[in-house]
Amino acid sequence: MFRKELSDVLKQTGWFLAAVAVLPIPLILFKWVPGPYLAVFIPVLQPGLFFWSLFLGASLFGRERGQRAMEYALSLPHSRMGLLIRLACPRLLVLTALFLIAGAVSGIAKTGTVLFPYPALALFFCLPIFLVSLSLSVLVENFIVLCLTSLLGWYATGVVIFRLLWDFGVHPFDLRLPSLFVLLRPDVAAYRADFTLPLILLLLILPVVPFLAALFRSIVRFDVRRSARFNRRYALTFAASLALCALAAFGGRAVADSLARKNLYLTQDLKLVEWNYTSKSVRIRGEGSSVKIRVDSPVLPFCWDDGSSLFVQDYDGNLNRIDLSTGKTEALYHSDRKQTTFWRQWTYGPTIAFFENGSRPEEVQLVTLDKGTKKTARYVFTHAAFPTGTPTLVGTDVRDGKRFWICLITRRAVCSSLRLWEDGRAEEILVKGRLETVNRPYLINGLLFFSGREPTFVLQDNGKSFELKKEFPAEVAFDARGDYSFQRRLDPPAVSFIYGKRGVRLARLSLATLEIEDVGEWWKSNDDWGYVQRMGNQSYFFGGSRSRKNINVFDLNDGRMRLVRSLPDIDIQRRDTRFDIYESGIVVTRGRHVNVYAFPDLREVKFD
Amino acid sequence: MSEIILEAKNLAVRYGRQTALNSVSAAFAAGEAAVIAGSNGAGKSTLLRCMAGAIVPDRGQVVLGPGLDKAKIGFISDRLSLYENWTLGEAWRFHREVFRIPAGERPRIEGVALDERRKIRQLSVGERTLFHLSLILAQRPAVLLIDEVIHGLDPFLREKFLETVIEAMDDLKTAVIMVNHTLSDTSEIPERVLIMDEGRILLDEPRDALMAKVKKVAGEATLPSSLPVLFETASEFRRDRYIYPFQEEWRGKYELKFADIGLDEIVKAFIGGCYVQKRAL
Repeated sequence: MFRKELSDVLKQTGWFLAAVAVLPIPLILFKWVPGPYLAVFIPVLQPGLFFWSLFLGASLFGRERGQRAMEYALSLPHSRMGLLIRLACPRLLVLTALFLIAGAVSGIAKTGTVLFPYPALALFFCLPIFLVSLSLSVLVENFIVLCLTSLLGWYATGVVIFRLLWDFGVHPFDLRLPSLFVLLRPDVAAYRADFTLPLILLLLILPVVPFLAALFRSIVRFDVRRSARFNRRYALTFAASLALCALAAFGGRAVADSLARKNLYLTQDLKLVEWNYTSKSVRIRGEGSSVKIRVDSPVLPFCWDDGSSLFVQDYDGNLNRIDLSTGKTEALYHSDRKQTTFWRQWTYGPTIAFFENGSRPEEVQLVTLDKGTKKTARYVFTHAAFPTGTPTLVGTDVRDGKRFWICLITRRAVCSSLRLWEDGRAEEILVKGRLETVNRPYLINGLLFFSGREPTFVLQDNGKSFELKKEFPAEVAFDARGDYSFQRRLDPPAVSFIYGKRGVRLARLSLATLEIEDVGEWWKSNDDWGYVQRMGNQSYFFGGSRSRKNINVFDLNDGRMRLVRSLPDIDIQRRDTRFDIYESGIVVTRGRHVNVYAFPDLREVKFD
Repeated sequence: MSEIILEAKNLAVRYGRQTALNSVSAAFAAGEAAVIAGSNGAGKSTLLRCMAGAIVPDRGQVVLGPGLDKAKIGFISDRLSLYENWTLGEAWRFHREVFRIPAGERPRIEGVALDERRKIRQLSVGERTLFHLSLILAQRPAVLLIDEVIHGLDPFLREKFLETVIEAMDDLKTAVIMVNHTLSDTSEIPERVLIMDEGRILLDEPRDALMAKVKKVAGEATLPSSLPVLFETASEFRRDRYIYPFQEEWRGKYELKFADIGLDEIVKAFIGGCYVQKRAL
């Protein structure tokens, strides 16, 4: 029976693949979708695989019902469980093979946008819907009703489990519907939950458990009629398992919380902020003090401070300010979740700047928020490069009384740079006539540096556009990416040098002469890593060795590398080890152990 | 009595609010031939489906005798349930694999030749019945459950079918349990008769004993009130009264002609009696 079923499912799957293979042809021929065949085929294949998983589960007894062979099948010398295994296993086998092949084809083709990575698609979507429809196929005979019930049943169970997982500890009985996107993207939900394995497993397993439990318990009573006794057994088992899963969600959430890695942030006045992504509280530890602050919604992993206030974002789209001395919380801005796709903010003066989606893909809105008055201004910009990547601000300035922002749009390894004027103009910044560059731009002291893997260019603002001021020869590679990356402040103090990697040596570029000077040797082997971090006027070099598992911190102020402190036993390749640099110090996390070292001498700070 | 090979114990089955079987118990011996008769909706087919495993009873259980497993139970349902889109060859190969039947074991039904490439749904009812029987007999069944299929056969195929069943009973010592409304063609086969009504077994008797217990009085003669009349038919030309249970001493005691009747007529009398009772209620 297994062989026959396998051969039938293979035949059906062959037809499915043929249909999916043919579908892109008219799309391309009639130019509804551009691109080579594989670039259209692969995006079509992914939703196809989801619906095929649904079909394979729902058609468990389809042949028996369609060919009036149910009595014959049930009188074969197999137990009900044996029959189920013989019908379900070939389907699961074919589905697995289909995913392996699809993943391999997608990997080989290296083209076409995949909505989800194949393992995520299989584990988070296709396997659950296959199991849910498989389970419901013993209960519902009408195929269309069965498919709809499976989708709705899976979604509803997922909502219950998800909300219980998510809201535990604060308001567990508030079963608000999460947005469809978040529920259908449990990988996103899992990301929000700190990638904790138990949570991912719970999100993956729990919504399916009631269906499987009901199937396995009631299948022994499955027969040619739909008896009330069978239906009752299925329903009771489902309800009981759902209740158990709800309890497991509560318990699992507590376990996940206890196992979850804490987010840490070190404020400018050396206070350590701790929270995890799932709880609705933030703890602020000082030397000899500890304050726990309740927030309305769990806090996202991105935050910053200005010395007196901590700025945090929550999952409900609020940007909150927490007073570091009193712990008082205040909502500065609420963003509609549908509009917000970019979670990063930048600051200059009293202004916080961030992007929101525009009304069209080619459009973005730059929102500026005055943190004192809470007044916002919106600037809409349109450019073809916006849909291709994530916009990032790398600088701002005022020219002829008008403010502009330098915006970088990164797509894979390629950058497009735009100057966004407050009057709505999006001016392209061309480097030797090209918009797309490999090097990243940095606006420093009014000069725009394009530094990275390719030769460095320096551009100067002539009022109308940026013109080339200096081009370094190809052999003089100077990679300053380590220095100015991840800068949140767009109005840093004026500096004299920027630092970068030049071969195996650390060098600095004088902003007065635009000459490169040698600072010291560091990258002696491929094992070594290092970068410069600027703390106000002070620059530090952080370098380490993967094999020696240490980190050395050097002061760069007088043009040479002066060792400030060596931190041993830090293996940055370990998943549970983190090394984060803040304006006031360094936080090293090794498992549950946290060490904080304060600038400028990197003395260790002890917290309660 | 031979060893019990299949036993239904207190079976109860409902279809929604309708009771199909209500605490039905019956035991069948190896090699025995039994017929189950009764009115429409009496629960005959449901009882057979329970014994075949197609229905799981709501209460009670079906107990297989020692050495009997499900592979030795053959079931031909009134729906002639088989995978209709398969060819005869595919169906045979599947059946052989599932029941682990050696390749050459498939019995041929004499006088009936079927093309292996034809699909099951293309067969006539008669061809399909005989094909199904050939599949079942290849299992060398210890129990053969046949649910009202012979009425759809023409006289030639019906004879072939019954011959084949009788041969199986002789050769394999197969217990045959048939559900039938009319027993005119098969009255010689059963050794035992079960009559069902409203989900219960009304009567379970050996055929000869039953025939001895049911007699007919034809005509207008007045019957003593002490005689148990099971069923009465009356028309302008004819009046028949069926006496059950009949006692042999009544032949000398009453001046009445107690006629022997066939199994088919006995079953008709019982079913008619049931309808009369229901009408009275």
